[in-house]
Amino acid sequence: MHKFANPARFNRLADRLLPWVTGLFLIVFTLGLYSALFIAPEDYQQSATARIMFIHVPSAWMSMFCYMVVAGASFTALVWKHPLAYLGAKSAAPIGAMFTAAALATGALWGKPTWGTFWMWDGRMTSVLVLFFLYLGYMAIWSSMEDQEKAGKASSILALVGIINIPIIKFSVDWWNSLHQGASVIKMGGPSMPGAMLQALLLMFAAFKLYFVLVFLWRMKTEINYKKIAVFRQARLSE
Amino acid sequence: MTNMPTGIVDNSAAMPYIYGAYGVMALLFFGLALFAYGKLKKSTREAERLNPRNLNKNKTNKKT
Repeated sequence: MHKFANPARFNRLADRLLPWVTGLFLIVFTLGLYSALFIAPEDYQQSATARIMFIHVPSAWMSMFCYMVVAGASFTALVWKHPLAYLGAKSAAPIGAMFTAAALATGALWGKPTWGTFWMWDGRMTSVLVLFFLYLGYMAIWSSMEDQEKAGKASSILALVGIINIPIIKFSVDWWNSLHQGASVIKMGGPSMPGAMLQALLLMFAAFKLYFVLVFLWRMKTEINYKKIAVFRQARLSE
Repeated sequence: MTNMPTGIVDNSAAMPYIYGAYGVMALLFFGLALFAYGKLKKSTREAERLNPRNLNKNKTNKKT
């Protein structure tokens, strides 16, 4: 992994990967959207509203995945002082915040016609809202502290403390009474939905994952550019 | 699955919520992508402009 700690090497790798990731994302996203809107059947109870699942569930999965990336990169940065790890965590956070906001918004819009309410202060919804605030807090630390070294350390500690929220989100529907349904894909006995629905769901999940890789690489390159700009400005001032 | 209501959701009444959910998703999804891409392009231009190698090149071009 330390091989890619070199920003120039990382940039070269990213430049090689980006066209492939972009192309693959566009193909998988188109297929996923088509499957979700036209191929997957309607639910026998929720009718067409179940189609919100194809964006809500992958967004929720991605919100947790992105947090794991932020926490993992923060840990790497704190322990091994990997030069690109802080930038990796910083780059993944806004993508995670976006997916969390999407999960909350699409969940509320799914809840109204099926439950009769946009929001309930139950375990699942509240813990996802806490995740959103963790992302906002993480990003606020980076933008509020001028010393980037200190900001990196403080935000990493917050990211590592906040990881306790991930199992709470996952098991909240088992631990507490909730309006939110239990697990229907990753559970004992296999997924409890028709194949066409599962296919659309997994395609959208793959598309969201590719979207993450794409935007993450863009953001990493941007952060490397900012580092370069700071060095060039410093060199100019000292001339 | 506690407290899940039973009954069929009326499709025509639910349509605004489905469009709303996909609309919000599209807005967030492509909004962030455009923002990230815009920042990348801007920072790449700025880094190239400030790069001492390019500055020297520009000076040499002017002299010749």
